[in-house]
Amino acid sequence: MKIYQSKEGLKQLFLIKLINFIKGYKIFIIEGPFCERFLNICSYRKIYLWDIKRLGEEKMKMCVSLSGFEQFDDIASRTSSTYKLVSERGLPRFARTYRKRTGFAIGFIVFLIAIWVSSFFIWGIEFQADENVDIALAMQILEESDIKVGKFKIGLDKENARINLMSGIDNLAWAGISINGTKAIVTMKKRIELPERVDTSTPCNIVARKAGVVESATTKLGEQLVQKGQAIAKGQLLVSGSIQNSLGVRFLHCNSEIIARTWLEAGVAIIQIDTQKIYTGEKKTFGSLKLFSWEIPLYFNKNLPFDEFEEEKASHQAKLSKNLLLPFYYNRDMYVGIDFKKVELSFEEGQEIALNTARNRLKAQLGDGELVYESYELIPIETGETVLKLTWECLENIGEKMPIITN
Amino acid sequence: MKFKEKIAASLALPREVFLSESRVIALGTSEVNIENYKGIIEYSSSAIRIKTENGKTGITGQDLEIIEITDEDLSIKGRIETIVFD
Repeated sequence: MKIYQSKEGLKQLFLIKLINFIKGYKIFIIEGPFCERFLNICSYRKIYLWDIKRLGEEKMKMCVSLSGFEQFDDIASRTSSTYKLVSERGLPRFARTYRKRTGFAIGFIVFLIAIWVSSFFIWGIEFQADENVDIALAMQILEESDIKVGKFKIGLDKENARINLMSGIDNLAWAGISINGTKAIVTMKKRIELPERVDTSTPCNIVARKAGVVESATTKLGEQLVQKGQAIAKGQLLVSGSIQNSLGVRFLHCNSEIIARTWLEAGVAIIQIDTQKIYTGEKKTFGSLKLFSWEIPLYFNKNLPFDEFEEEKASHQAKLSKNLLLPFYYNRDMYVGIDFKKVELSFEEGQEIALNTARNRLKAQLGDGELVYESYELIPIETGETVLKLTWECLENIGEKMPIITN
Repeated sequence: MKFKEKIAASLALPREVFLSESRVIALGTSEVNIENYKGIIEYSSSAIRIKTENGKTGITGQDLEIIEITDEDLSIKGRIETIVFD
């Protein structure tokens, strides 16, 4: 029987240990001048020994199966040694110890049956879905289709639920439901969205939605009226969709990209006092056990010794394996005490806060544009405060389509 | 070469099966498995000597322990320093 230090070897080792446990084994100490001879006789008689440890010159400790132990008297007398039983382990010993405890045995059997019966129900639903799929809606549809926690899993109409999901959720390309253990795994894939269709039949001009200096202009359709380096005012016509020729006026749906250099500005007063959130260090946790739909609180009252707090909820479901969930939960509500404190800031700290606030404001204004250069100046105002004025130089498409009204 | 050895060599038979020769497998420096051993001559936590078909095999090291023993195989673990074939 070889045990190699590999995955296979570990499995084999576990199996051997399991068999030894089921069959039962004894740990004993032999003492005598011929311990090696004792081992040799055991191996000759095919008695399996393991975990053999030398405890001294004439002393060894080892494990042996129950059947092998029966021959020990004879072997000990042949090798002029004595043996002492240290302990007996394994299932036979366990059964012998607990055979008179009928209540315990019945309870254990009832527990096993309860686990077995509960494995025929769904105790968890796992969604493997694309990011933009509405999980709450999917959950509702599944519930209406009779796939929910606590349902008997045999005979479930998965196909019907799948069709309901497909018809109930927009742009779903594929949906699948599989039952694995006591868990229902719902997979949903969103359809790839098509680019928005442009209605080119309506004639339009392109006008500037903000002021700037033209950096580049690419016109595919329409008459371009601005050039690189030209200053543009807000609302100025950039590309015209009405073309005048010898036959009269022809109206087009313009297609052009006018990239201009623009300047965005935001002013934020530098504050000297800031309100900051601090954790008081106080913490209170309330646990509860949930069995099916009954919740058993593990606390007497839920009074909090603080007024301001942050709440953190967690729920842990009991499981036998990854897919074999059980209908027992441990819910934990944790409340962490917080306080708001006014803090006096240095000028640099106040400036940093103002700078970040101004940056966030401009980021919201910029949209798809690109930041090229950032600068700021500090302006003292009448009230004695200082305002930070942030300026962003950006490149952005300033063209905006404006329909041409034709009679 | 003996007749049995010649047959084993010409038919490419495994020697440990056909000639009952011992097979010693060292797994790094922490475990040694010996197949086809004949008996244990000496066993202490610093040295183990085994009788095999070909002679004697000595293993020295520290904290040596026999992790299992059957009629054919023997597994030793510990910090193994030397394996000597007499």
